[in-house]
Amino acid sequence: MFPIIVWICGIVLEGLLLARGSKSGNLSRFPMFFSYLTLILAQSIFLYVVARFYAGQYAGLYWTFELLDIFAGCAVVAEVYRIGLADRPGVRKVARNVLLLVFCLTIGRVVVTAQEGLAKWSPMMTIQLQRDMRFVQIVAVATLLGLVLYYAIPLGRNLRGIVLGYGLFLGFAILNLTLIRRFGNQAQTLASYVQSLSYLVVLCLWTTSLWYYYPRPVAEYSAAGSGRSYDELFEETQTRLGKARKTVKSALESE
Amino acid sequence: MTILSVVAALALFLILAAILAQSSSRSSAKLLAADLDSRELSPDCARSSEQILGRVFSDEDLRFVEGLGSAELTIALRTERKRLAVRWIYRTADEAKEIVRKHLQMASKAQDLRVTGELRLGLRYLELRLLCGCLVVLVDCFGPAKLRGMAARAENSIASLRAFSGLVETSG
Repeated sequence: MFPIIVWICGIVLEGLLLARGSKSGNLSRFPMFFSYLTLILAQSIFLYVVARFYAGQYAGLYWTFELLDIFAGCAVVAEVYRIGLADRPGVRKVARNVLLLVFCLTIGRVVVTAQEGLAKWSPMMTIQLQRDMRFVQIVAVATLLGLVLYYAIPLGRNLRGIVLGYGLFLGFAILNLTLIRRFGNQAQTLASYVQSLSYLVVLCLWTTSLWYYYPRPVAEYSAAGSGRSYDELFEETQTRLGKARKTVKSALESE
Repeated sequence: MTILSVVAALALFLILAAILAQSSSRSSAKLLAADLDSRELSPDCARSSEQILGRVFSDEDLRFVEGLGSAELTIALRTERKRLAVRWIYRTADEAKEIVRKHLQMASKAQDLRVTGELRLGLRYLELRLLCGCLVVLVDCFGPAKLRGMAARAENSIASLRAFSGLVETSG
């Protein structure tokens, strides 16, 4: 009974989130995220019907949809990159290279596993493939967030909510897949409970952070930074840090 | 891969927590930046900082007070100088932090940002912070005046070592 309640709560929250997104205007501001959510909602309803009336087909369909979700999740990460780094061309360039590399790794992993599976495909291979792809996604999100942290880029409440929720979801997903891969079917029940509950928490987080539209905070030093080349900035900072270092060292030097 | 996956998940949770903490600490960072900006503008402040540095790390005042023969006064002066020295080091570290913060804000907008340049500056900043950290520990252990004496002695030793190695090389 409990999983069904969690399932229905998820469907209701997803519907509510889409309705609020349309009313607050967030739907047009974060199209990839809401497309992802629409896909998840459609899958949830479809899988619910399958589980009730064609239970034998459920497992196969579930894992296929999960793979589809991973690719849809890449679009969410791309949207965070596009909106979050819109006014930071320098960081955007670095992040783009990292994300491209990560995307190539994801594709590479799919191709390698598919080739392995040509001989004999097993359900465990699907789980392994998913775990590896989630791992690559985590690297992408962590790199993106690392850059956001390092350059102190304000994301705004809406985007921060999206990325926090998706990050939590990814973290729990990889933990669950690792659990299933390690302990097999014994861990399946526990993993499905953890996954459902964590997804419900993520949905609550998304609902609260996307209930209204919150404009992104304006970046500091926008005027001062524009029009200066990186080499100029580098030289200036290096000189200033050198001066600070000299002052600290002078405390130790004898008169 | 199992361990790697768990580590990746935990690392991601940590980064997410840092993102949450960053948004809440942004207002206090703004206040600090404003404080440092106003200090940076004033030339009197820079001059007084140099004066404080000179007095706190020299033993001129200490010798004078020791000459008065009051143990209590000497201890009070030593404690106060230590406190001032630590405060000065922390302030310098804060200034370095602010320099880097401003750089990051502007560099993120530069079209031609270089990763190697960022790494070099990052390392330079880390070195400075490490130096400040070591200085705080040393000041706390030995006091500012003794520290300067130790540095002078170390410098003399290095100079004599250099002179000795020079002698060896020429005789060899």
